[in-house]
Amino acid sequence: MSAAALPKQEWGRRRLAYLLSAPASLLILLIYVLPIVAVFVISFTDYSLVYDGFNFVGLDNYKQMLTDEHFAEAFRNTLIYAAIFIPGAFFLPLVLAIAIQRRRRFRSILEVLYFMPVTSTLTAMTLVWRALLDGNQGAINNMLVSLGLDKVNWLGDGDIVLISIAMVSIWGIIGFNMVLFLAGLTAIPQNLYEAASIDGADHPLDRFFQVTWPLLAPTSLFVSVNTLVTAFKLFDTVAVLTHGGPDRASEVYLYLAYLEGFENFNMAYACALSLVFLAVLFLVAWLQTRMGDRRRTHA
Amino acid sequence: MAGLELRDIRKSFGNTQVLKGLSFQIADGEFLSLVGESGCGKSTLLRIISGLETPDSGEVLIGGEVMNAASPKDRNISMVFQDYALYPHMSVAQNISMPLIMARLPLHARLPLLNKISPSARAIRPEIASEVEAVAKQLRIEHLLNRRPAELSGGQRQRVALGRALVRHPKLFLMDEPLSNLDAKLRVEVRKEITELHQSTGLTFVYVTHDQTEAMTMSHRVALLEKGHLLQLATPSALYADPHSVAVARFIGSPEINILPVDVSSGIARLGETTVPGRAVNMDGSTLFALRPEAARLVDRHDTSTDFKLGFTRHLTEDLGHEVLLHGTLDALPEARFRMRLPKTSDLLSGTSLDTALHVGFDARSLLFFNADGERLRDAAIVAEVREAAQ
Repeated sequence: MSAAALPKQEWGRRRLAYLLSAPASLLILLIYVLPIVAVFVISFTDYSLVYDGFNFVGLDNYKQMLTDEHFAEAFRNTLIYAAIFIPGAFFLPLVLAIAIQRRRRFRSILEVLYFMPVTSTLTAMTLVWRALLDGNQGAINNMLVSLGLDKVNWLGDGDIVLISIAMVSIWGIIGFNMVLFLAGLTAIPQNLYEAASIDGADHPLDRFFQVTWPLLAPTSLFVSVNTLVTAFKLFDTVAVLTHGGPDRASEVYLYLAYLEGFENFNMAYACALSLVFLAVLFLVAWLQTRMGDRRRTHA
Repeated sequence: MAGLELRDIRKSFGNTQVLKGLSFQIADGEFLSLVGESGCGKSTLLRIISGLETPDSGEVLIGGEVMNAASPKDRNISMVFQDYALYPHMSVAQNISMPLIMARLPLHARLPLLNKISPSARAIRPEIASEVEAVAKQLRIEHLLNRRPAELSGGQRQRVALGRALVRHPKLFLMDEPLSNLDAKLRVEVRKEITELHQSTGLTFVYVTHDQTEAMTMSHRVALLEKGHLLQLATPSALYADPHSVAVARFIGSPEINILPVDVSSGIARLGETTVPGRAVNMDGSTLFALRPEAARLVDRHDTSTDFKLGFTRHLTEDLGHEVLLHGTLDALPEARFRMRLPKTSDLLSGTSLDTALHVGFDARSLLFFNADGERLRDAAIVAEVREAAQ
């Protein structure tokens, strides 16, 4: 083998490497990068689905948000929804996971039961929930009446609708978060609980706060970030159950973006909304991870 | 008053009987080792003493009180786990202070957030901190108090585990193979430190190990378990010199004791084709002769100073520096392994090869006798014909 042949061979190896990674890179570029770049560019224009051509308008779309009542309302609705959804979607699965983990019998059956909503199509299940939550004929209201209670206008009352949607979403995510917590709990060495009970920490609260909670921290962090992102991504349940109603009471952020883009054909404004959404989510998730890291290293 | 008393402890897991009725007492301040092969039930027994496991039947008495129903916390015991079981999220100081916090602070003062505002916590915590510091100083880990277990070496973790166990001044100090994760050199060092710790604290120690050297070097008495039974409970030297059964003789001592199957009929013992010199008294049928490896020595072909002289074929030599171990077989009994431990000065070995014919000599009084079931024959002996004639 001559010395001159080496670079040529090396070049061949590189070409092969690029060739092999090209399909995946191209797909990532097409599916993720280009759309984000496009959304970014469009958000500085007045592009609309119903007119050809567009002009650059600078930050006008972003300025519009500051004065847009619908934007403020959607933002507020999203925060209220998140405030109901996140604690439920975090603590219910945690309690369930701890309760189920100690069981020998029925554990796998319970796991499957709670996980089932995750595997089903959320849109189809939401239709079922619409029937259950129906103000007049719904099974839930019929049950309330048979118990001698008043009917609740689950989806028609502006003060209740966000709670109803949060309930459906929590139902949908319980199994997933519970399985994550179960995995985290299984990873805690059993002998730490034994050491704890020798040390006198045999009260359930002590066991939880001295051993379970601190050692579950990485799992909890992941679950909370994931749940937070899920909360802000709320769209399909609203689209199927309420269409943002009654009277915009359940119009959440992404639903507003959808309305602006595909109902009002305000594509440029919708793009600006999406970018702000992305930025907020990124910021919150980053902060949360930072805090989690600090807790793990300095607590 | 007994530091610990066990009365007919039985325990099964499913259909497997792990402990088959164990009873013994440990004196206050005694160091007792539980020894046996893995699966003999020693760890289960320790867990029953600690309260982590409940016996199916039998009683556990600590300081004279029946403790069967008491939780580990109420038994006032400490335990060092095999892999230390340190809390990975806590500093060394927090790890060591855990038993004191649990014992002295009320529940609300142990919970997150509330602990910051609890007045009782504010009063008691400094006191706990100073006790933790004292224990850390005793174990020479005071410079590590702010570190996490993950930042410590195996030996340092071991000390933290000891500190966490010591800090509460328990009635009973339990250890479950605490040295098995340390390297050989460190193990010898920590072994010595644990012995010193026992001497300085005067606590009752129960120490589980599969390593007979640890058991022999550290403890006052050793309890040898096999398949859930107590084989023998005695001082290390008694276990070595005066085993009740062939199983005990085999387990204790390294290299293992030599077992020679012998056929005895009407006072004449036969090692294979060779007749044993002297009369076999108080034994009959198939019998086991046992001989410690150091009780045999190499003798010259013409030497007559020992009661027995047998041809030996060497298969392997292990030179340990201060002594030499020989592995081989007796020519009279080629199917039984024979091991010898010789001082390095044995000059009969110099210049020999594996093919050189060697002779092993030993005395009848070094032999231990067991029947075919492995029980010790205490009255058995080999008596020289001459001496018998003289009586």
